[in-house]
Amino acid sequence: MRTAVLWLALICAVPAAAQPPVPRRVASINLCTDALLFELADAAQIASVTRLSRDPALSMHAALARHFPVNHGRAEEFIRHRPDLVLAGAGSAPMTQDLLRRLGLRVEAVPPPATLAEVVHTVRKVGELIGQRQRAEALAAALAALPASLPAAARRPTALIVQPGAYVPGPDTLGPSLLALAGLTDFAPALGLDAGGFVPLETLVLARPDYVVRGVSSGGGHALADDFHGHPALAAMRHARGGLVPVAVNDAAWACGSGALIGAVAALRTAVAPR
Amino acid sequence: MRQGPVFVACVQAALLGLAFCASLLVGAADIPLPALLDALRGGDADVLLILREIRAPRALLALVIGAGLGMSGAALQALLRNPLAEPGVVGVSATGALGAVLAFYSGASARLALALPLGGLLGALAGTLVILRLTRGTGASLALILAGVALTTLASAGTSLVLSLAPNPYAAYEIIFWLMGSLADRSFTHFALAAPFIALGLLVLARAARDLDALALGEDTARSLGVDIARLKLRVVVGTALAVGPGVAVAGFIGFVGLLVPHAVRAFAGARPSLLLPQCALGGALVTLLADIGCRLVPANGELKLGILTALLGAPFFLYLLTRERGIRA
Repeated sequence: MRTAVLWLALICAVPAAAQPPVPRRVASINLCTDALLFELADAAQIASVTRLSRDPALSMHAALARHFPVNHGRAEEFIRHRPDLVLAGAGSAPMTQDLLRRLGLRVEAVPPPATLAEVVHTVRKVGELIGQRQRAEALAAALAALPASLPAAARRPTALIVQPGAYVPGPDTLGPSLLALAGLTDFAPALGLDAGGFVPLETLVLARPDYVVRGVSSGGGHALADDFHGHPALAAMRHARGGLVPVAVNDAAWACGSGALIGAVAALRTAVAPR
Repeated sequence: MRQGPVFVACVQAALLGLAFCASLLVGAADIPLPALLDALRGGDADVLLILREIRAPRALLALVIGAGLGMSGAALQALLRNPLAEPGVVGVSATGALGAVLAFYSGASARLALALPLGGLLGALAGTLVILRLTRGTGASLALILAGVALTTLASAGTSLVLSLAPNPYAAYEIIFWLMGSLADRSFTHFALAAPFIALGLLVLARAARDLDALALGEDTARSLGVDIARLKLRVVVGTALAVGPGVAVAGFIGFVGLLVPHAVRAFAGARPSLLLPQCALGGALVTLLADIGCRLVPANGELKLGILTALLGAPFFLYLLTRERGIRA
């Protein structure tokens, strides 16, 4: 549904006021800049997005991504059909970025945001880079309004985000912000995981946060990383004592600082709302 | 130094019991001994849950997997009449891992859980048959080692390839589990999948031990004693695949246990396969349990992989054996 609306929005979009230099063809070599392109750019503006953006476990725009060419994040792919702008994640694939710049392409690195304020800033920045200020401003405003819409509560339940492979995301990710926006207290610092890290199963059983926020799946196909949430100890725990209530929120919705964060926050708020 | 086999077995069993208890005491959650004892008497349900669902299956898995590795090491050494033979060294563990990886990442084990140990079993079976064929007729150590190196390299590359091609982005990071082995957060589900096969393998190998006694006197003598050599080979091959493959399928590649244990046990219990094989099952279980305790004691990011510790223990010993072999030949 969401994607259908977005798709429609992209098709019917009124071209933004021409602000030179507006790149006519924009490629993205990072999953997170893919998301921002889908949310902000005109359909005709998108030259290509990453192959991963078609995986529904990794991208909230997987259905939409099928309508666009994909790249594999390698420099060679951009030689023949030169995009006017290549969006990359800061710190990801630095060699590719260097090579692309040496080939004379314009590459803009977008740092991954770790707070809501940074997400708002990133949206505005990308909007500016691709000449879609109006759309970016609307999205930025919707994001910035998230904290105000959180209902007041006497108690903030504890929650721990546990990603596939038992990884707890640290403060360099949007994980802690997501919990705060949903009115939850991040349990990671209580486990000594202030900087993120792996949570041993035993520790999780003993510490017992109110909620365990987990991804929907680690991606297409199979991985041992998904075994963690299926361990009999966790099932027995929930059965016997309550607590550790699993809440599935697609990692893809919040892992990138994009408009999908609004949906992730809404889903998490609904899941933990008192019944 | 040499003791009665019953005495050695009793000492090993006693140590094994101690190690098993120690294994239940060690874990990521720092639970003091009184709290553990209290939980067993109906105290903290969470602590009991940790003991029952996390530490117990882990200790039991170390036990059966180690027993399988120890005994199949002794059986391979007897069959190939080569002191350097071992499931890890000859490549059987690596092919077992490849079989398990194919079963898991293709989704076969998601449809039918038994596909995982069966994949490991078939992989190990293929590896053992290849090794037997490559070293047929020659008792030369070098040929065996080289064949083992080639097979291990090939199978490990295959494993890495399958994991790199798997669609799931986490799969590539799991190469380290398959090549280094670990028992972290394994459950009774894994135990139930692997243990019956391994037990069957131990049985097959133990029943072949008498004929291996005869083989120690040379093939011709064994034949004159009424041993069907071809059948004996088949029994050891199948027994080894059963004892190693399903273990690899749930815990990854754990090397050198089958090398270390028979040599250590031989020093105490003598070299006769019929006595050595059961002792090596006990010894293998003991070494693997201790190594797994070690993994949890070493402070590391996450947890040390089991295969790293067994390799650190076993590889220097392997080198020592290699130099001794050369000394004899020169």
